[in-house]
Amino acid sequence: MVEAIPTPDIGAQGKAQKKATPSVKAGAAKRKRAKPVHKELLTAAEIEARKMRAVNPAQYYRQNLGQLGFGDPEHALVQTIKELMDNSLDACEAMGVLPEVSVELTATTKKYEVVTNKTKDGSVRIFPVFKLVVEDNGCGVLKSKVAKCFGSVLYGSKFFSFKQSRGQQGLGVHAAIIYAQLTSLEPAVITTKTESDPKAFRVVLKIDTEKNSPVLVSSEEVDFPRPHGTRVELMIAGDYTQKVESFIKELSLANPHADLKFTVVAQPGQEPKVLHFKRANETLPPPPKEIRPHLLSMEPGALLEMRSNDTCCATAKQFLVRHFVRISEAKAEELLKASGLAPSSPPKEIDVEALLKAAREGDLMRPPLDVLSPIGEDALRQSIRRIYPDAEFICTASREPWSYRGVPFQIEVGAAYGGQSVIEDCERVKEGVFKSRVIRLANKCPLIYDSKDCLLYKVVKEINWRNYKLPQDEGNLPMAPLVIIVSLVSTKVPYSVPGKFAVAYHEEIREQLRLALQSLGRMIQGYISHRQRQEHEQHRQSIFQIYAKEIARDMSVLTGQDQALIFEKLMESIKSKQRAKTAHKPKQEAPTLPINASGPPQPCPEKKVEEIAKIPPPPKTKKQQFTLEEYLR
Amino acid sequence: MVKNRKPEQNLRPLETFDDSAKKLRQIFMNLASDIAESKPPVLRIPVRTASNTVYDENRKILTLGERVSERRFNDISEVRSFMQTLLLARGIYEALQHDDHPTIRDLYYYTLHTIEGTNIETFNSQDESNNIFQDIEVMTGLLREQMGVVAESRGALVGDVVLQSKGNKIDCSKFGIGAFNIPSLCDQIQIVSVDAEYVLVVEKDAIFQRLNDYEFWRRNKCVLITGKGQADRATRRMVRRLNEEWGLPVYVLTDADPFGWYIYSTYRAGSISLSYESFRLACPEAKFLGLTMTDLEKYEVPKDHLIKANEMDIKRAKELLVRDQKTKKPRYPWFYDSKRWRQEIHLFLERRVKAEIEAKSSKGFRFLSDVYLPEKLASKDWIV
Repeated sequence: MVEAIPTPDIGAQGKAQKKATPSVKAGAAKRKRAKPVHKELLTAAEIEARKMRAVNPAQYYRQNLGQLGFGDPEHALVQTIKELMDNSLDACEAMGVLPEVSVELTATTKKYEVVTNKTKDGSVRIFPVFKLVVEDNGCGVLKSKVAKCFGSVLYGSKFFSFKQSRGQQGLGVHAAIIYAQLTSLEPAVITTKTESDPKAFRVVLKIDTEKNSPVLVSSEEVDFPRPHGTRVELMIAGDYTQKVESFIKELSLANPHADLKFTVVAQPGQEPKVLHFKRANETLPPPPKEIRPHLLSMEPGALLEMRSNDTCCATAKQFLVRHFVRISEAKAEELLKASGLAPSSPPKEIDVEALLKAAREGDLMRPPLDVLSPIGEDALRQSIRRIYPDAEFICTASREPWSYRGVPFQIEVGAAYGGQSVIEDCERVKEGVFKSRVIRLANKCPLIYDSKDCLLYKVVKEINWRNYKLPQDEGNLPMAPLVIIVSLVSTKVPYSVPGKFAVAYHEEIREQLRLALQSLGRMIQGYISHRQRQEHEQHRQSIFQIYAKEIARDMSVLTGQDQALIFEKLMESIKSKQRAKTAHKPKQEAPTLPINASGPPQPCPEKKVEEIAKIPPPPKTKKQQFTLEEYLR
Repeated sequence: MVKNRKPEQNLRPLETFDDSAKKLRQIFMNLASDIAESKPPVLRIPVRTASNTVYDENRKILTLGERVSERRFNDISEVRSFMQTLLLARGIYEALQHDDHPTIRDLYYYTLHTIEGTNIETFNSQDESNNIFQDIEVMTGLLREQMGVVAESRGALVGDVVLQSKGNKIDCSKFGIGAFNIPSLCDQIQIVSVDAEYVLVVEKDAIFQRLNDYEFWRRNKCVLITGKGQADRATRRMVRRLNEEWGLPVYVLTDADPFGWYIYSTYRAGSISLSYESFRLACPEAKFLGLTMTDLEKYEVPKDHLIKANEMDIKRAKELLVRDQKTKKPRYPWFYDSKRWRQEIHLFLERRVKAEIEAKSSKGFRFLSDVYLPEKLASKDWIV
């Protein structure tokens, strides 16, 4: 059964928007068509004035889903899962419980038909409608707030806080619900239970985008399998690709303490495929702290708004000290004077631009940096091991928190080298040659698309990996079976464009990332050197063995002694030489690697990894590059 | 006159190959016991380079210095040559046991095979094998001849000499216009009797044949020998034996050029590349008879019979008077310390001409045999 729905042709909407900005006009244009045109002559300004009216956020959302990541069924599917899981993980974090999130994606027989700009001839493409169920063990939503929370755009808790969180404003879920009802005409089903409620509350709702308010279809009290948590069911049109699995995998990589279960039926009637990522550790990451904004991070407009809306402060000085971080009374006075205002003037008189200029020149302290919740080096290592159990080598590195334009951020990186699971994730260039893969995480949430525009990706390509014994074409990803994980946590991730999965350029972030990747590179180099030494040693052994056989035969002829005995003794003499060598120069011998390829993940103290990184590369003798054959010659 | 100077029973006994086999075996038995005692297997091989070649002032010959290199089994860069040394030694040992006298080329092929489990050959070339062979010679102190290994030989001898080999007597005065070819293993020949007053060594085979044709040796009571250019080991050994066993003085006749001087030098003191065998081959008492530079004037060799010296000649001549940079000692003391030799070399460097022996024929075909040589010998006009 195919249902034709006129409105959600996203591509067409995008075009309409280009013609008429701002988007308010697009909405107004429809009204114009709906009403009969006045016969009396009007000036252009009067005609425009008649069309004008306020736009509500829900309408804006409906018309700009592309901007929010719902551009086409492929993106929309990933984006919907992302938004729901973000909320789930944040809800668990808010409560301080170890997350347990299950995602079920089931293709239904329902179809969604759309003209996409992806096909050249503008033909119609048909996508299945999926039933998506995301269930968590988070704090749940109060019965009284459920409808409002899910049914009213820009309603939520995150918008008002200035702290590290997955979703930027927690608004994605509304976009997802709007997308769902646009593509499948089906309402969202939300079941939620808080710890204190005896029963769960089940709500079926739609969003009335004209009014930006929930339309309750039904609500009832039901049983819930968990003591607390939320379950969201949506029917959405989607294009199921490998990206969905990648997303779940990378999300679990970013959240080692989370238990993620993903069940998918990609085609109606298929056997379900289950991916279950059990938690890698039981440690809750430190909760992010909420801080007041830093003056340097303020846009002039936002500052103006704050100033205008302020009702609690009597003086400009009070306004600065109370609302911004790192502003002492003395500093506030200094800044205000520099902007040409008496500290005792009312906040309304603040000249926003002069104040920001003074702040830029005024040598402000960096924001407090201990407000972030990084993954943690050990946790990240365990997490990588969980995803790549057979990786030959795993290492992680992190930088101390730092700030860009008054916003705290922290960089963590990790790598998994070699092993079948790593190879499977890498792009195969040709037989035996693989292009490494970059996994980007922003506030512990994977960035799936738009890697080319992303600072995190660009910096990985900038690094000269050849310095670390990894083959690389200049300005490209290294050619090695290698997965590089780059994580940025910040109170505000600087996305290049809203809805894009790309981090914008900031010199401070670039520099920290570069340094982190370089220390990661040194660890990888340490491992590769170690492996080369091992291979070299095996090589050496086999050469001695080959010659020892020959020598034993000759010796036996010359002396009449037993050939096997001589061979044995000869091979022994090589081992004794090695022992002698290690006794003299213990540093030359690599310490046992903390991570062994076959065994289970072992927590290893950071020091050891550092040690490996410091091992000097073996002297570059010609011998090393020799093949066995060349060696023997 | 000197015929049967030594009674036959006093002849030096021939070296037997059994001794060599025993010595070879002993050396490797020592290595085997080192291996059994878990000592690192090492072969100690005297260094054969020019820098380890020294002049023994007492014996007046070139000889090997004291530097010894160690070839270790457990060194990755040496294990291959270690194996090759043992392989070739085994080949030599097996030949000695069966009383076979292979050539070094035979030995190369005998020991050449693909190493098990690889596609690598035991030797890449015969040069490699020859090099290892020399290592074995210096390591064991056994010369090739003592190990019964044959090489190409080209020396010839004629004169009133009776040799004995494999029970046959060979009278070296009965070859007509031919001569006795000195075999590679010339120590396996006994010199039974000699009726001669001196040994005349000539550089060139052509001159040798002419002098033989005139029966110069019969008329002048001498043994005539040629090495046909730079002398091989057997020729030098034969000259040495005639000098040592029969007390015959040795005179060397070469072209008047630095190359000729080098040939004389090799007969006299040995060569750098084979300095380890000088003790058996060199003949420090050998005297240089001619052609000398002064002879060119004295016998009025016409100017157009002289050849302009090339750069190589000049370079070689200068080298003869060079001092070693490190030790500050003259590199060729037997040239450097001799006043006559210095005169000769300076004269050459001044005139920059050289001459062939055949230039003497400008005064008649028999001038060399009938005038020049007798005169020179009678007037003792040689350089020591």
